[in-house]
Amino acid sequence: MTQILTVSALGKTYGRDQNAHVALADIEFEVRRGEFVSVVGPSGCGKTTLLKCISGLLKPSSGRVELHGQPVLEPPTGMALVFQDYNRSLYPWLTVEKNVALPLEARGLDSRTRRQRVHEALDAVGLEHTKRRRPYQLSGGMQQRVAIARALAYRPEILLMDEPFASIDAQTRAELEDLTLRTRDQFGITVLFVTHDIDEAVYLADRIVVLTPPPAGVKEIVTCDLPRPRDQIQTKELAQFASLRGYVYRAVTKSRETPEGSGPSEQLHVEAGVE
Amino acid sequence: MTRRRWLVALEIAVPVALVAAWWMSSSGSSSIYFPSLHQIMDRFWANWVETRFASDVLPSLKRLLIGYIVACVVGVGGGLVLGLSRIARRLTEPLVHFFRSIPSAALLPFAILLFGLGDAMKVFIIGFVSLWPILLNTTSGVDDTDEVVVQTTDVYRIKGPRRLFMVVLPAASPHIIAGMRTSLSLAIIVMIISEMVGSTNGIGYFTLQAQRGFAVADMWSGIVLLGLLGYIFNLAFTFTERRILRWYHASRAGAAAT
Repeated sequence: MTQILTVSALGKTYGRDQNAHVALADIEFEVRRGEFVSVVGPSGCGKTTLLKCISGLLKPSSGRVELHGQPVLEPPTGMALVFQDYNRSLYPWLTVEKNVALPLEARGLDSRTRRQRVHEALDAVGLEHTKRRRPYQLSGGMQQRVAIARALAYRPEILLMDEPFASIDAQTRAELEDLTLRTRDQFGITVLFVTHDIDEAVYLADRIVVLTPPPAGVKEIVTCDLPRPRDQIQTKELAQFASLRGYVYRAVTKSRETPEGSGPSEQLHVEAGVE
Repeated sequence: MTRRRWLVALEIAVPVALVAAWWMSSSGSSSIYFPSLHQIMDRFWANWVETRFASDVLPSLKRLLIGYIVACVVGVGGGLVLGLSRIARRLTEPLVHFFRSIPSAALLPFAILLFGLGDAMKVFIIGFVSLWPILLNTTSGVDDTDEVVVQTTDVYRIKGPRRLFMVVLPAASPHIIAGMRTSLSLAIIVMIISEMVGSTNGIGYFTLQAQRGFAVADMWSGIVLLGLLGYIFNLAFTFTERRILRWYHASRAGAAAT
């Protein structure tokens, strides 16, 4: 598998001198073509900052991000981003259809291709029938599906998702997780998925990048080779799921000390309380 | 729904009752300051419908609309520039606040000096006074655009005029339209004042002339017309605003409900 995204020695510092706040320190990982990579970390560890640097929205203080070997200096054409705040990320003055179509217009696609892609993407998220409605007329889960459709229609090489289901109820959330896995197969895209939910990270990913508390660095990269296709009930019943989940959980909560020599299968003492 | 109907009925009934009360209490009035409503309406019809529509009402409306529309275009255009460029905003801020603080009446002597007593003077001063609320509101509206909206637009590389017309302006439109509403009332006031100070026609001119000639019923007919015009403009504005900002009110109602 070839690398599609490379993050090397990425650092971000806000302010300077005594007021300097190091948000990211020396982040290093890569994402291969077709892979689903989750990023987890303790809350406030700079996951969103990391994603902003990767997407080119924020200029890193050091290190670099490369998409296909090209340094990312501004948002590249091969990247789409699904935000947590779907109700702020969709344009309420445009219809669902127009929301999905606008990035395609900006890309200079002709109207036939646009129509076809919009149709295909809305169909994939099951919202073709709402295309003439406005985002605020839809439920939260549906709005996030529109945002996913917009990203799919854009046909990115890599799809970044920033805690996309954090403000969605549990039931809908499970549906959206499966929808993400399904459409990813259908459209053959690579996904980098930031979340604070460890179950979600394990359920979705091929590999999980675990970040340390701030200044965030990569603590560990956990391979997550649960069988695919994944299933909300069966996958989560697997002993392997439980041990992976426990392993990642410990890695996230046990602050910066690495669980030396311990593998996902080992029984570890669970510490109550973080740090 | 019945409560709503009651309110609408009251909304219509109260003004009707007030006019009826005015009509009855003023009938047979011998006061020269408060002629009967009957007399006023006679003069209203004779002046505004029969004789002076083309000679006074149209010129007034023309000045008002030209000044106001120019202010809208310049205000939105300038506001966009200031809203998008922090440097431009910093450089012009003191100037903008100085100009918008000048009371309109204080500018009249200057406008007359510059343009004489013709239409240009009135259009200038109506436009000048209307400009600032629109400019300031557009600036703050564009500057306050939600950061997620901005980031989304950046990620999807929506640029140039498409970004301006499909994202930046719609996002700022609630602010812009609030500014336009403030400016519309200012524009009407300035139209009347400018016609009273230096003009040979117009509703403001006529109203002041009637008062000076002790034609009190005529004066009242001018006041009634100005009130009606203000009301109609406001109604038309509200109607247009509801259509343009339907998404805004609906999405805010939705946000409040959740």
